[in-house]
Amino acid sequence: MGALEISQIRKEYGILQVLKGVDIALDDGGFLVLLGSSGCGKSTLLSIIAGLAEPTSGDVLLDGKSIVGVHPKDRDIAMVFQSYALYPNLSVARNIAFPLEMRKVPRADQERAVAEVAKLLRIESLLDRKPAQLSGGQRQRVAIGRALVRKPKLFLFDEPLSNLDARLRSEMRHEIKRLHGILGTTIVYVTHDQVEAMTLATQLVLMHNGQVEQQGSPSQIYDRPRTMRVADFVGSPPMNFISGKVSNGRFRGETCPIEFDYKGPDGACEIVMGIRPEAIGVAISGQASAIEIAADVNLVELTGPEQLISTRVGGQELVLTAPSGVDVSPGQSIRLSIAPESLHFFEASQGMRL
Amino acid sequence: MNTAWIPRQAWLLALPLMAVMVTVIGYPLFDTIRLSLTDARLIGSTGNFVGLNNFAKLVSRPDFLQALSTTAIFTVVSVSAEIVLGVLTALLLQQRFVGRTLLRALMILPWALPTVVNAMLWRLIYNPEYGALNAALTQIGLLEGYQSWLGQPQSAIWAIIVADVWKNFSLVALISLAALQAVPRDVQAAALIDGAGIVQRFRYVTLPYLAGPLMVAVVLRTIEAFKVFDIVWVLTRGGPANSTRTLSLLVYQEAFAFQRAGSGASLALIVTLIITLLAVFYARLVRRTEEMK
Repeated sequence: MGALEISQIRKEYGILQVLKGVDIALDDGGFLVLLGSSGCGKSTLLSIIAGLAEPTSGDVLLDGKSIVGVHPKDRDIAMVFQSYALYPNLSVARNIAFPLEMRKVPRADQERAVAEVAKLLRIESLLDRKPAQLSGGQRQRVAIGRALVRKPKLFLFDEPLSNLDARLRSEMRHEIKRLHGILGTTIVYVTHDQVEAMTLATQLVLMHNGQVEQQGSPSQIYDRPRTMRVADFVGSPPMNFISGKVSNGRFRGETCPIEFDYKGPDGACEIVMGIRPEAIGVAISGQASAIEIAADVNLVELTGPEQLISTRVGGQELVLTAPSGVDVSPGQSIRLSIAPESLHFFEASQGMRL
Repeated sequence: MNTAWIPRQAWLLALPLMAVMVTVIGYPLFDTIRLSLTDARLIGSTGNFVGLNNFAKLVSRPDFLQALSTTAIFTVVSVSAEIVLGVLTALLLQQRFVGRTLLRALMILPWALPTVVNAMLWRLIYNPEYGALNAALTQIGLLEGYQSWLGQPQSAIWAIIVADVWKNFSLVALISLAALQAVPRDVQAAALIDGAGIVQRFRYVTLPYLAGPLMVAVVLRTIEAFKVFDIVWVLTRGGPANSTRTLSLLVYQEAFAFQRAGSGASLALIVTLIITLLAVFYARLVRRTEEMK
């Protein structure tokens, strides 16, 4: 159906390098999410796959065939846009049928395909309406319908949920995941929302500054971030970082009175230790293997099921999450326990994982 | 809070404007209506009340019917040509090419020229002895000898239409160009991916965003064209053989040259009525176009 291979894609506008040699491989039926902050080049990469922009150099292969230079309509792709991009004066049914109409598919086949897609997306009752009469979520369903109707090899989604409110966004997220489960088509999905990225992706690519920072499954990205940047970007609240030095097999924090036997990989003595907020606990009784430190509570934010506790340890702020039942209040001194196996170590100069 | 005083205050504030409007528009309009019911002459007679006699006589007069048809032809042809040419120019100036910014700035020039200057320009171009049009057409072999474009009844109206189109298509182009900026890039991209060709992209992507502003341009241009006076006056004065005499010219002749103030007023009111009806019709059309979106 649609295996995608992107090799050494570069895109330059004058002296501005937007993409600096991107390599990505995606198996047929995979769900690839391009994640990154704005300006990282993820949307440009999607435009290049779609054929709306041409790369300065490099190649894009779909099922082993190069599609660079091929007209967008001949690439066998479909795209869903953040702004829905529906045709304003056509009805929902004609919007969905539009790609078929342009390809001169017989009218009866068009109608059958539209009915099928409408049923799949549960928009049968909207077919006679104009886009202006629809809500944001309904419009995005129609836009997805228009992409689905042609059964292309590859779907491209450009931040499709960013214009929706929080509730609709999670509803449509489920919808897209459900559709991918049913149809099994290859998808490339651009977002800056890490929840979307983590929940939808089979392959997650984190981009930064025109380059791939890390590609892997969501759990690989979350559990074994390759760089400090990845560790910082993925996870909410973000990972805590503590700079320190390793000497004689002991790690000593620089700005924070933390000290323990360093059992991580060798190779550097200037080290940044990373610890996710959920890997820090409020110590109840001394657990043998845990690292314990004293901390002062600055701020407690209850989110519902859990609370975010900001604490100060020496000159360093540490954020942890705890179940809402744990009784802490600002100004209180508590002890934090950290499991050594949940620590991440990065070398300080480049931020690469050790 | 007591706000009952606001309407009274508002009337008071609007009073100076209302006074001016009544003086400069209300009174002349009223006086025109009064005049149209008399057989007054410009000089000499203040006239007697004749009822709707003027109107009844006018609608059967051949010069009125001829002027009406001349005006209708002028309006329909010149406005259609201006719309087509204006939209095509806007689409062209929307493409990326070197010199686009300069051309976009130059485009407004014809419209910015005073009508009289434009008309004088075209008189030179159409000149039967040394005009550029004659020179160009004979030199490329399309024409045997020099023609008097403005001096022949069959060509004069078309020569005026060309001059008017040249002046006014740039306004339509400007309005269209502004409207084109509102066409979302995503929809254009979607149409490209969906396989729409250039005609279909214009029809389904560009036109929905162009239609509203374009309707406004059509309304403005139609009303202007229907009451055309100056360009015709400078180019032909309604001749030859009255072949380019539009309704406004006829009003002028009736009221001032022939000094028939009463009958001229009736004619002016008929023109006003036709334009008002056109305006109402178009206003509805504009609203419908907007609702379509």
